[in-house]
Amino acid sequence: MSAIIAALPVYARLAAMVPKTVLAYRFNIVMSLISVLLQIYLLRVVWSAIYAERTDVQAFPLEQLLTYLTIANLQIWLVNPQPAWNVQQRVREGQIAVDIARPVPFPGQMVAQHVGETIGVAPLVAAALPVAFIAGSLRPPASVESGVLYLVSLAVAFAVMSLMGLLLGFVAFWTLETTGMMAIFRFANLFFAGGLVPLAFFPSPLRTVAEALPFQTQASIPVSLYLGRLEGADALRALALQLVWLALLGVLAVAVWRRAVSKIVVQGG
Amino acid sequence: MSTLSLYFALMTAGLKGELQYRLNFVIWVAMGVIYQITGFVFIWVLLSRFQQLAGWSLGEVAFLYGLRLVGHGLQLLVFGYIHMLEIYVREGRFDRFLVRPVPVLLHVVVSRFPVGAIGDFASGVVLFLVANGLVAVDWSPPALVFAALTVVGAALLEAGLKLIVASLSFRFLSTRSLIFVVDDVFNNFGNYPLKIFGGVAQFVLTFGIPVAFIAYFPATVLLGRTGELAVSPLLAYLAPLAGAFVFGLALLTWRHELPRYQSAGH
Repeated sequence: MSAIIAALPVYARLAAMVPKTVLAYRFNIVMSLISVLLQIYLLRVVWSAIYAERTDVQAFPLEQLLTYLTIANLQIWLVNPQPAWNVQQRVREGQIAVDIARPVPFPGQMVAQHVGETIGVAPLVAAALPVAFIAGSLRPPASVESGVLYLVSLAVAFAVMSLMGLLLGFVAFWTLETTGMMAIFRFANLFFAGGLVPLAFFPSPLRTVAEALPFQTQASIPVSLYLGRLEGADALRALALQLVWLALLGVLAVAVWRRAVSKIVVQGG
Repeated sequence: MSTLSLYFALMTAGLKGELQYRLNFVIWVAMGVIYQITGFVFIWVLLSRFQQLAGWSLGEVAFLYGLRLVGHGLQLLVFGYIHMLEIYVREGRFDRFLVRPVPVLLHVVVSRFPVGAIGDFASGVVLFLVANGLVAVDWSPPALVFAALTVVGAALLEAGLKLIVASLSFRFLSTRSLIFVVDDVFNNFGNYPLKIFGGVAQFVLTFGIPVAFIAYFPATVLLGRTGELAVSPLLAYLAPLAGAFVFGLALLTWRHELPRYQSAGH
C-alpha cells in the first residue's frame, strides 16, 4: 500500500498524458455516445408504454425511473472496461515487454491510463447531458446527502470497473484474444447493473443472481443513492457492499497478475 | 460464370478458409448468437413482468423480433463485411479489387466470410419458430410467400442503407462508425411495435430511416394487427418492395461514387 502511495505522483503523470490521446478517436467516441442517447430514448419510449397500461408500479414512479435509466446508461458508458482493451493491445503488439520493465507495476500503469481516458471522455458526457435530458429524463439528486453519497459510490464503481477490466485483460495473457468475452461482459454488465430494467423489477430467481454479482455496483447502487431510493442505514450497507466487491476483486487481480506475469508471450519480441 | 455462381464459389472458399480455425469459428458463431439473445433478454424480462407492451404479448413481440432477426441475419451473411470498405480504401487495398476479373462490389462483399452472421441468422430462425408457437398466424400459401419476401426485402433494405453509407468512403474516409450507428438504430428500434413511438418518431422511423418496413409493418399483416397502423395498411402489404427500392438506390449511389476513388498511399 505504501509503495502505491509513494508512486502516486508517477501514476498522476501517467494519467495526465492520456486525455489528449483520447481526442484522436473523437469521431468514434461521439458516435458511440449517440448510440447511448438513442438507447436512452428507446428505453424512455418502451417504459412509458409499459407504465401507460399499469397502475401497480407506484413504488417506482415513471419520472424517477426515467432519470434512473438515463443516469445509469450514461454512467455505464463512461465507466467502461477499457483496461481490458488496453492490456490486450499491449500484449498483442508486444509493448508489454517495455511496460513491465518500467519502475511502476504494469497493473498500476493500466489503472492510471484508465483514469486518464475517463477524464478525457467525461467532458463529452457533460456536453451530452442536455440531449440526455430530452431523450430520457434528468432531475437533481434527492438531497445534498444523496448527491455526496452518489459521488462516493461513483468513485468506487469506477475502481471496481478498473479491476474488472484488468482481470478481463489478463485473460489475454493466456488466450491472446478476448473480443468475444468482452461482448458478453459488456452486456452482462449493462443488464445485471440494472441499466435496462431496475433490479427491483427482475423476476425473483434472476434478482437473486443479480444480487450475487458485482455488476450491481455499476448502476443499481450508485443511481439508487442519487435518487434517494437508498437512505440511512440502507445507503451505508449498499456502499459497504460496493467496497467488499472492490476488495475481493483487488485481491483476485493481484493473484491473477502474479500468475499472468509468468505467462507473458512477447509477440514479435 | 454468372455473378451469382461466382458469389457462391467465392463465399464457399471464404467459409472453408474460416473453417481452418475451428475454435475461432465456433467463438464467432457463439458471439452472434449471444449478441442477439442478450438483446431479447430485455424484452423477455420486461414482458414476463408486465405482460403487455402497447397491447402486444410476449409471443407477438418475439415474433416481430424473430422476423427482423432472420432478415438481419441474412443481410449480415451477404453484406457482413461492407463496413470494411473504409479500411480497404484507406489502406489502398481497394486497388486490387479494381484489377481483378470480378465485379468490384461483389469483391468487397466476399472479401471475408462473416462467420458471426451464422449465429445471428440461426438465433433469428430459432426465435421465430419458437415465437410462432406462441401466436396464431394463419400460414396460408400467400402468407408464407409474404413472409419469405419480407425477409429478403428486410435484408435488401438494411444492406442497401449500409451500402449507401459505405459508398461515401470514397469521399470521406471514416464511415465505419456511421454504419455501426445505422446498425444500432435497426437493432434497437426494429424490434418493437412502432406504435409505442410518438407521431414524429413514427414518421421518422417510417420515411426517414425506414425501420418500419423491416419487420413491424409485415408483422402487423401476419398477426392481423394492421388496424393499429398510423399509415395505410397498403403500405404494410407492400413493405417487401421497400427493400428492393432502397437497394436499387444503393446500387446507383455505389456506381456514382466509385469513380471518385483516389488510391491512397501511392
